[in-house]
Amino acid sequence: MSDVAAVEVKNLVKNFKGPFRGKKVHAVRNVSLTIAPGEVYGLIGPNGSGKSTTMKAVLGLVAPSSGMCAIFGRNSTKVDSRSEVGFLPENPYFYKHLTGAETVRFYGKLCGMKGLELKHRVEEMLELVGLQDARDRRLKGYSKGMLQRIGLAQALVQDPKLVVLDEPTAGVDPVGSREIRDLILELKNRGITVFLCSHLLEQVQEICDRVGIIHQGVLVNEGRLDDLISLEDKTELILENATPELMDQIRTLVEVTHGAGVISEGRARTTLESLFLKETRSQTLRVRKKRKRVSK
Amino acid sequence: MKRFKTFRNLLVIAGVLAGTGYLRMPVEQKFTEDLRERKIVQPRIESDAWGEMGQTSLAGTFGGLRTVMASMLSLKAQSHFEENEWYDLKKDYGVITALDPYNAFYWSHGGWHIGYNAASWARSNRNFSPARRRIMEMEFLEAGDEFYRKGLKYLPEEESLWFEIGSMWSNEYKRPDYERAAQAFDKARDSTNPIYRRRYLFTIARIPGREIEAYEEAIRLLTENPRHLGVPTFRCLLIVLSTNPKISDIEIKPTLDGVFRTKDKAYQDLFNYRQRVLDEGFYAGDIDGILLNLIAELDVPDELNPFLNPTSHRIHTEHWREGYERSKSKVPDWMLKKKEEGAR
Amino acid sequence: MSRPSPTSFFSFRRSLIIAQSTVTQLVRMKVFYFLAPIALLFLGLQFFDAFWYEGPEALMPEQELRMHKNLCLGTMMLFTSLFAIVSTALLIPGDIEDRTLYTILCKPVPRLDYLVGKLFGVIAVIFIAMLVMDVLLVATLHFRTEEKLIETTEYMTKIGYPEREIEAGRAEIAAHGPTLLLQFGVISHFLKACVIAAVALLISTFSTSTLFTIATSVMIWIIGAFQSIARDGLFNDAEFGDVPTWADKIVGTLVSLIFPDFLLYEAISDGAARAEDVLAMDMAQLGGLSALYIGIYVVLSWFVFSDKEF
Repeated sequence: MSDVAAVEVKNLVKNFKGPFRGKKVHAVRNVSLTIAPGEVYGLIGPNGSGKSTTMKAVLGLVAPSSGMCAIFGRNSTKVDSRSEVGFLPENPYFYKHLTGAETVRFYGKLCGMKGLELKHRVEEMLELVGLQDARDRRLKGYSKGMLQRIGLAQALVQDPKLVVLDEPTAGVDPVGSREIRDLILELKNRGITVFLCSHLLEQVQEICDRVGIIHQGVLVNEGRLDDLISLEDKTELILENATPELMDQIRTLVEVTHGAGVISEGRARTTLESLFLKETRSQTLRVRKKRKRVSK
Repeated sequence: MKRFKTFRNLLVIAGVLAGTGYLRMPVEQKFTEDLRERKIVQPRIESDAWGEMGQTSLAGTFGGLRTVMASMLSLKAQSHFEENEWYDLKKDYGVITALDPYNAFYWSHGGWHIGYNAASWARSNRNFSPARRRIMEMEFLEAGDEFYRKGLKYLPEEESLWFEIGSMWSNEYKRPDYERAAQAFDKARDSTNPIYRRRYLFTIARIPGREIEAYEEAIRLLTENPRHLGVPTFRCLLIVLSTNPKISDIEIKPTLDGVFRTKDKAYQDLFNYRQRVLDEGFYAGDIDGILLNLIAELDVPDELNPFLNPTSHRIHTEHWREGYERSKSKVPDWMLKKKEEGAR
Repeated sequence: MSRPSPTSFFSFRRSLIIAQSTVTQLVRMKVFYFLAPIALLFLGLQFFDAFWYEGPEALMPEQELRMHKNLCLGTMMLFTSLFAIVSTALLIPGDIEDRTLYTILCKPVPRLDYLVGKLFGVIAVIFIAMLVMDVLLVATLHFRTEEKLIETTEYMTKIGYPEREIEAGRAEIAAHGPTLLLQFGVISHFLKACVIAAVALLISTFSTSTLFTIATSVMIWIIGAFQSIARDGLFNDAEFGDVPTWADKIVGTLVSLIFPDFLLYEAISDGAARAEDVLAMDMAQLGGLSALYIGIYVVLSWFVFSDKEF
């Protein structure tokens, strides 16, 4: 089983009939990619590049014009291939008339789960995505982030070996976005394969092992993330509590080394997201402490 | 490709439906014909009815709501009856019976409105000249007759419609045509309903020249079911018809005691029957002779002698003698005077 | 954690899950509120006395009861047929628009299960609605029949009819009351609604809009009422003076082959309302025909839906 790729796409071509007579739209042109089990693979590209179409072909929602897609060795067009796949679509909608718990239960039943197993699994998923409090509220009243989370819960309900996420953090606030990313990392730690599409590159950079870049239906580049983005001839060094004397010594050392040079020097920067999270968490703690004092 | 697929799909759908339809059709046709034979499937709506239908009725037909539309239209037709809008009513009943032709009620009710109510209205409408009234009345009677007969095409086993045709043509307050009435009653003659069977007899008895036939019919009915003797008119006709001189004396004829049980009962019934002869034209035969014999035999008081005291009243009980004795003291002066004058 | 068993070609259980979700969806859309005006209509009929006069103008009790049944059954037919069309037409396009369908089909759910589940869901809701309407019909008809029996008995006794004839009259009226025969009429309308739902399902699989699906389904419903006329023309010789042209024959053939015969359902229902002798065998045949229609439409729906792309 470990030799079988989690996802295999071979020479995938998908064309759509355009709105005007005789004009075809080549959504995907001869894309081939392989995702190993336990990997987090990111397919990135601008809007309209063919990411979603490739994903849908893998899931069997569209039939390839030519080529082949397989999930754990099973042809994507067969229903059996979806037994071990969980899918979270972009901007997901579920049956608004169902509550959170009912939604997860519904999808669990569709995967063949029942009885106590299903009941426990529903509770587990709701806890995982942090929606126990909203379990009995209808989806009609859920926020965007909550819908994403319930989407994740239904995608994971049957404990799939492959999870496919289409723009998982689109439209979600930074806190929610962080939680989703943490979840993805946790899935990775559990050995679950993750195949995600996104055009939020910095997020992909944080979690993916391998990345494919698709543009106008063509896979223009693909490989391990570190390999793709590392600059071979440049080195980054971040120091803590470095004294001016130490900095002088380092500069001198670089100057005397043949071929090396200092490109830039300055204070290391955090990210705006980290700053946002830090500030919001601090504020939350301050408010809790104040409430405790008031109640005492 | 998508266009090809759509075309292909439509072709496959049409092909499969046509193929399964080819196999399905004979089964459906047989089923429909069986239901049609049993009058469960309504017949096709006639072409002239289509033109008379309003939009609502048409819509109901398309939606499979024929009987519902018929029900609703029949309620609307009632308002035409109340407003004497006979031509609209006739049109409506044409549509109603086209929508629900297997409902005998609509044929009966429609025929009654046209043949009775409309004809009566025409006869008594002072807005028209006497000649016009007569013409209109006859038109409505004929229209009623035609309407009933149309109903009988759909419901040939519905004897009540023949009965209604017969009743319409034998109604002495309209334009009685006893020949036509008899023809209609004849169709219902073999019914299990004894009323229908007797009406044929009563009708042919009123047609000059068919008295022997009427007598034979009366004997036939009596032989089949002696219960007919429970009806006063039948009893009287049986006796009166038997007085026809053309009936051979060899034949065993009914007797008064055998038919009426008692002579008092015979007098009561024959007294009343004589009124019907005078008022409604029933067959007379030798009713006067029979009554005179009974008067002599029973010593009937003068007050109850129709030859001495012509009256339109009926005798309501066979115990008329006791009733007479009781009321003797209460006889009004004018009657006593008349009796004295008669005696003088 | 147990692994799901291999996916079968069709799973009744999975279809039931989708059906249950469909029922919940329709119920929470408050579709049963339409039963309220129907209940009012049925109850209103209970108190409606159609031109009741003494004597010959009187509406015969049997005819009054028949009218009551016709109006109620007609209302039931109208509402269930329209509901079947509209609710089925909304379901699949709604799921596609909302992308709910993606998440369902990304589970190991064969498309046939999905289609059958949706159809079962609509049929279940129609069944519940018909059950409620049937109970109302039987209750109101029962009270009305009792009323007529009492009135007629009193009238006939007053006139002096013998006991035997009074009993016969009562039996005649009771035959038009809430008998088992009436249920045949209700069942025939239920079967018709199921077939119409299957038709709407087929059209919704290739239609691009809900409006088109509803309009086309309604047209098929109407044409279905005349299919037997077209078929009659093929099987029976032309009546005197009514010779069909080639165009008539072609159109007649196409209509007979392609469209369902809805007249049979109306005929059975009318027959039941008239207290004609509709047999259990007739119902069995009608049920068999309905199953055939539904089966064909579902298979065709699956054929179209199976390679539909989203």
